[in-house]
Amino acid sequence: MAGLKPDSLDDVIHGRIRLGVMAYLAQTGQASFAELAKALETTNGNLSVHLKKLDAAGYVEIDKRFVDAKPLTTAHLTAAGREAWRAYLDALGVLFRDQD
Amino acid sequence: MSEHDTNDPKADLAYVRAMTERAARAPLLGGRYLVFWGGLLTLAYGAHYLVRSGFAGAPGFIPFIWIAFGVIGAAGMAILSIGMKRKPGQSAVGNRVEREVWRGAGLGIFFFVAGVVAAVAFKSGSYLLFDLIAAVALALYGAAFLATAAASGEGWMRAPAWLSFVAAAIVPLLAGTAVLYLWLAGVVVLVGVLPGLRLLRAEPPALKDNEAA
Repeated sequence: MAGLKPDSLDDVIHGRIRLGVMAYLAQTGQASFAELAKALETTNGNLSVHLKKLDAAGYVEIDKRFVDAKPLTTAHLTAAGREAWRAYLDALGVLFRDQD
Repeated sequence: MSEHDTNDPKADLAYVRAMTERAARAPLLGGRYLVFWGGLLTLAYGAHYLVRSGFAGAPGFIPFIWIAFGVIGAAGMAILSIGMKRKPGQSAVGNRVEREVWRGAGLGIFFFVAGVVAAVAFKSGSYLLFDLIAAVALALYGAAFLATAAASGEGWMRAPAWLSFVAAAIVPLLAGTAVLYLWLAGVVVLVGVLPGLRLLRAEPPALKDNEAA
């Protein structure tokens, strides 16, 4: 694709599910695992793999606890994640500018 | 769509936009609280009217009506909160604003009631002050509905907001009469129970945590 500079895009975010997670959490700040799986229309296993990648990069924090005697897993966007998301959107913007 | 499709920035942007809108436009989750408090208030105002108009009980019963209202309200909130953390959209801006403004409205009413009770108990304040509690409450409901409507995009909420403002203006005109409470019972159905039922109809079910890892 003309103007595409893969190196300028953060590989941790630049994957369909991870992109969706980051876009969703950038709006809400946090969401339960089940909510993310439903919103992204993906399987639990798939989401789990991608959340772990984002967690390892420090972009999200996974919180597991019991609420009303049942487990509840929640993903939070970290400050580093928000910064990385801004940088990713900036890089996308540059990409479009270069295409024009 | 697979990971490989992220080579198309336009598709990525469309996807980001779709996810952002999905996250922002989650259904409001406050319907159960509106129905509960609206229903409870309707019963309390109805009982207040019956006692004050002489149809039932004795005037000394009125404080007990409102003490029971507070106790049932507190217990009901604890019960209604069960399972709420599993509802999708908890952190959407509309739901965050809805929680904050209604909490603020509740606190505003509580402190005004405390001030009225103190004024009547220690400063020989007029009992008419009790009748004005509803005016303060309705004004706060109106502001809460307007803020929630703006944050959630649920424009229909402006109707109960303006109804609340108009009702707040009528309260002083009916203050000092028993019929005020019969009228308030009807108003609360319109600005509490009915909007709450509408929200409940659109409310998504709680999601089970099936996290795989």
